Amino acid sequence: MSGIFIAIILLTVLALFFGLLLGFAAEKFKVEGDPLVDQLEALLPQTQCGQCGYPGCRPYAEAIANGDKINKCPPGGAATMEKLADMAGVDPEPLTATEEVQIKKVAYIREDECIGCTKCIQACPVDAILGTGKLMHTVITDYCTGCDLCVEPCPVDCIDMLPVTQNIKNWDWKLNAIPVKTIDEDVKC
Amino acid sequence: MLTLFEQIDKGTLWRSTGGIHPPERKTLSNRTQIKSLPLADEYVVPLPQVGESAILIVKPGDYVAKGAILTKGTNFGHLPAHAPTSGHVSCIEIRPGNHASGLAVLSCVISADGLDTHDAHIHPALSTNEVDQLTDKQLLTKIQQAGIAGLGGAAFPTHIKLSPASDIELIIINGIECEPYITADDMLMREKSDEILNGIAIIHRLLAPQRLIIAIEDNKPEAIEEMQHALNRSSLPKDGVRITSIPTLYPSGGEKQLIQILTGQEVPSGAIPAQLGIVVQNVATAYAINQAILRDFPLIERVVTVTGDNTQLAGNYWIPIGTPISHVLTQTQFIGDEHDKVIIGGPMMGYALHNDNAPTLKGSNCILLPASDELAPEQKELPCVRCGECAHVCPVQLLPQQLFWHAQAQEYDKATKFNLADCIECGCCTYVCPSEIPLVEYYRIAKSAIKAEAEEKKQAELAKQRFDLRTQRLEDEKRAREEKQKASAARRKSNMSSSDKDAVALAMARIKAKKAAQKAVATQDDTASKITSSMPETSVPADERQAKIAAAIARAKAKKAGLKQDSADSSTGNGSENSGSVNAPVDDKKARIAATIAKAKAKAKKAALKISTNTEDDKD
Repeated sequence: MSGIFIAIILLTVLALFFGLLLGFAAEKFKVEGDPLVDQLEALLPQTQCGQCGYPGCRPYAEAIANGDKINKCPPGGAATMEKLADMAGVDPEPLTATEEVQIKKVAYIREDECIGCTKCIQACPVDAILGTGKLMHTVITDYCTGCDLCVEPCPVDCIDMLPVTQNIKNWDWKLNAIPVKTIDEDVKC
Repeated sequence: MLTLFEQIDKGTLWRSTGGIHPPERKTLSNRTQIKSLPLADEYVVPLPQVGESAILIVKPGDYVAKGAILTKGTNFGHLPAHAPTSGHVSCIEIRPGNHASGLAVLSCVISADGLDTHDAHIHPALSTNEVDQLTDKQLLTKIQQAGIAGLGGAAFPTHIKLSPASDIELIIINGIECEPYITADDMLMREKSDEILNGIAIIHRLLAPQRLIIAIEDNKPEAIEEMQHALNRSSLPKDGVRITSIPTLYPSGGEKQLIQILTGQEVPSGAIPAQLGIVVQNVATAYAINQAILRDFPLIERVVTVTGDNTQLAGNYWIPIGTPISHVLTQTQFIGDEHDKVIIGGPMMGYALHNDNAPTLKGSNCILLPASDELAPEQKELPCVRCGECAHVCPVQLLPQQLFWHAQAQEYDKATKFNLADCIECGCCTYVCPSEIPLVEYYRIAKSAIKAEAEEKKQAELAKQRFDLRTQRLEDEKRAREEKQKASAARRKSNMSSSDKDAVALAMARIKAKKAAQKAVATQDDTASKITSSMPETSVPADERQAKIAAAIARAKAKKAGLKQDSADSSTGNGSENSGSVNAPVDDKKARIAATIAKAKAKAKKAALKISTNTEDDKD
């Protein structure tokens, strides 16, 4: 009979010991921050456009981790939404924004119309616009994320969002699916 | 156990995996000597580096002599473009490019004057002594200035390959030319063997390897013989330099495949041969190096095989780089119609040209003009039967059927795991596929999709970095501004004279007294209203004051929210609030309603508010 008691006591003591050990370890080696947020953020396109209603991609990633909808990122498109759904463990939902054709666009300033008001510079989330007060501004297209945020503040409407042109470096072999025939123009040099 | 070098000296060959034996059809073009074509009216020189790392140094209307430099760049990888003949620059514009995409590229168009005058910097050949006196650096500069790129097809800048970071123990000179139809290197070796050996001697001097192998496929016996004679005549050391004939098999001429056959070593995935101490150079590149060092003659022409049943003058031609392909077609009596294909490169790895006006490039070694029945007709793609033929012939030991599976399903991450990046696009799998699946096409699409994805990821990373930096900067600026304000306030305080202080104290006392008086009145009113308890809202000054404060806060909030919103709407709202708080009791209720609306608006636009406060701060 006493053997059973000894066993019970021993196991209880062991359970307590390991419980304390685990509890201590959980406190001592606690992982700071939420890796889920980092993973979600890595999936977002980093345009920092604010179309999701949050000021930037990181806050939106945090919001998704806290249970916000995963379908608020129009620049990412359906592909990003699916990846987010996968990561957050929820069902995919159609995008809230009307799904336009996802062509990457960048901003161009019509430089002769620019009055140098600096409003677009303040709006740009990634510092891709160069210029100073009363002097012409221009967009560093390599840094432009195509977020659209500079278009609205412009008082003279001199910013255009233009699709990125295809060149030999960024062309896609998929083009072959469409039979392309370059038409010759008889342009005099 | 023999060492690797002893085995090489014995001529040991290792087995390569995979490979095929397609019909060679080389006799079409290797029966005649290399000829030249009459000058074209205009030449189109593509300028791929201009706009990125190089600038143009000519403008429309300028006269350029044959071999004159057109571009200038400062970075190490820069390869200048040269005028292929003498004439005037007629324009610099976007012209159809010689590329699988058919996209147009920036090109310099030169209208030939027909004189073909050499540029002044091209001089008669130097003697061996004079070459020996040049330093390595001078040699490399000459090679770079001559614009020499690998002529095997990849067109990698040669001067970079010739100044490797690690020690080179083995040089392989690639005279394999394994692709069907093409005989450009074969003919060059037959006719210019001494010049090639001279170029090889210069490469040998620059890299000082322990061994040098000139590898030629055994279907070119004449070339092997010529090269052997030239080697015997040349100044190269007799031991350690040999010509090795290797069995004909496609694609033995691939860099990594050739290394495997000659040394038994496999170049690891993602690595370059230089990491194994090996450099591979094409025979035509060696010839171009000879021209560049001896005469300062830039790479402005190369041997191109024009072949196929659609040309009546199949053969090899010295074609200036930038010659419009349409000119080559007319000169070699092209008999096809516009539906017949013009293929740049060989039948295995070449691509069909979209526009005949595209120019030849440094890497164009063949213009294949097949008759409509000459190559296998395009057939309907059938489902994969998993026969495994493709895996059998793959020279890189990949699993083409798995790659195809994942590429078709657009599961690019899985395709990457099956080492898609190591595919050399040789076309063996497509050649043997019984289901007529254009496998390489699938891999190319998958590769470009993976590349685009990687590029996007890089862009996103960059955008995030810039966003974080900007946020940090804005915060820093804000903090600095606040500190400055605090400091200036403190300064003002300390600078105040005692009389000022007294005045302030007096003013404070007056305000206190006034407040106390108001409070007294308010309590009176309060009790009065409690007693009467009629119309409690309209005439309660205490509530009224609170309402005023609330309205003021609401106004501020509404103003901030309004920055992003319909400004006209909120400004009229503000106006009514203002008037409401001036003649307080009557419009009190109105003000409260406006305040609640404003609050709701402000709440709804919380995110927008954050952004707009930021911008407001900037303006301040």
